[in-house]
Amino acid sequence: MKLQDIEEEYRKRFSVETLPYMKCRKCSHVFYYPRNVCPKCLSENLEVSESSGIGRVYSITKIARKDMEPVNYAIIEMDEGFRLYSVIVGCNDPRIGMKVKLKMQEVNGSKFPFFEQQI
Amino acid sequence: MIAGFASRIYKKYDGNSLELLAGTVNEALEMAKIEPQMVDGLITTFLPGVFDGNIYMHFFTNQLRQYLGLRAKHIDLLDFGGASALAMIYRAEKSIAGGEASTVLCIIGGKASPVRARGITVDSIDRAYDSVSITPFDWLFRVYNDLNPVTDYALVAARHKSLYGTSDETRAKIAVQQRYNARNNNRAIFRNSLSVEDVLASPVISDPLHLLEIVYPVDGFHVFVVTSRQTQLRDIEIKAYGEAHWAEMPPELPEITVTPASESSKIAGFELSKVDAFELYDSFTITVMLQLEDIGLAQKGKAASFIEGHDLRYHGDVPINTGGGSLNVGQPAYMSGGVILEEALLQLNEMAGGHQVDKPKNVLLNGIGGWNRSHSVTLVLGEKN
Repeated sequence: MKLQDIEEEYRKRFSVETLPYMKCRKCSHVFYYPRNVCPKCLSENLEVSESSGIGRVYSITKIARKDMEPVNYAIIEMDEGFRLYSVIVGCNDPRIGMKVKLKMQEVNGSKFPFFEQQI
Repeated sequence: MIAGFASRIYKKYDGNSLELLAGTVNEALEMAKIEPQMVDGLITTFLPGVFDGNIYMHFFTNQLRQYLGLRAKHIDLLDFGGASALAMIYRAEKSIAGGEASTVLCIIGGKASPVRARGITVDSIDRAYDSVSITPFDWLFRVYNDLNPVTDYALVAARHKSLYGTSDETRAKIAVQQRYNARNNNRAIFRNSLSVEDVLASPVISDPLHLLEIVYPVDGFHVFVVTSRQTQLRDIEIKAYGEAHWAEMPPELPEITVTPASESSKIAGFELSKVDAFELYDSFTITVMLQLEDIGLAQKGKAASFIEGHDLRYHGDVPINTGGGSLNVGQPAYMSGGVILEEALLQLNEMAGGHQVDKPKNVLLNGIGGWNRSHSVTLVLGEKN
């Protein structure tokens, strides 16, 4: 797949409120940040998969902002075994280990992955 | 070996970067007692925004040499942030040993004030300028209003607390002991006494990191003259060296609390009991703490008990950042490498009046580079046998 096709596929998946990720068919490595080659084995034999959207907080920091709500910036570890940066919304005090689920939010007219607490 | 060194550091330098550099070069060559015409090598690094606000300088090393009138037989442009300073010394020595050059200037610095004035950091410079990328995935990475590099280091500090029970007080103790070391360092801009309470009372910038755990970016240059010629300084050599450059975006790392210092220090392989002072990259207190573990002073996760059980002040049993580090000297152009390297040379040459370690033979330096800590350089300097 060409990189721009992968990125276009990501945007399509975001628009229907799902979380895509990459799977290498050669070595089974899973990753989120899109490349047209596997970052472990450099194979171009990749597929775009769909995550369940369920994960846990791997780490979290509350960023203080001038005259704005603080931002809960995090690394989320998804059940499928890959991690990504995101922001947790609708939760005052998210903790490491907390279960979260995908909650897409619009940024500058397009939907991007955010997360909320999974009760 | 290193025949001369100099630094000129200001909170805000009122003048051109090249002018500030020229003055620092002159000072370093004066100490080395070497005429400018004898310089035949240049190794340096560039970060966007720190040369009078220029985002990019085409043929950068050529521009420096045009301004200074320097021809060269060996040039290197390194790009791993502050850790580059340590690698510059190694590359310079190798070039000289290989007969390519005989006197190499190693230069690191610039002006942080124009970047600071725009309310950004050098690792967030893409927020102020179009067509600057920070990762190959910016369209996904930059959506979330992070504050790099503070937020990424904060994520590591938070995880370290969660995994190992490390307290905020432990990190604050690093800041307190470094400030103690800075009190008698006339290069330091922060010299008032500091307590753990002071550190933890300072505003939280990105939880759990407080303002007084974070370096203050300033304007300045460090210049080091590495030469095959006779030196008036102590005859110092590189005792051990290691470099490690990792590939992953931080979420892709096996564990974010481990840095490439774990690998670069193993490659260097120097016996820690023979080290008289440690100069460890200190962009944040957490940076020092991670290196302390990763170079092997403490097991991973055990920095807290190490810090409880040892005295990190310059006259203590494990001197760390003996001049106060860049946390107290300031971080020229967002790079701490020149600060820790200069301190190592001051110590080894018994020029560290007021914060002098008693007769040091070996100093271990470790530099971490990149907003995502992907670079580490371990350098041990000591007296030639």
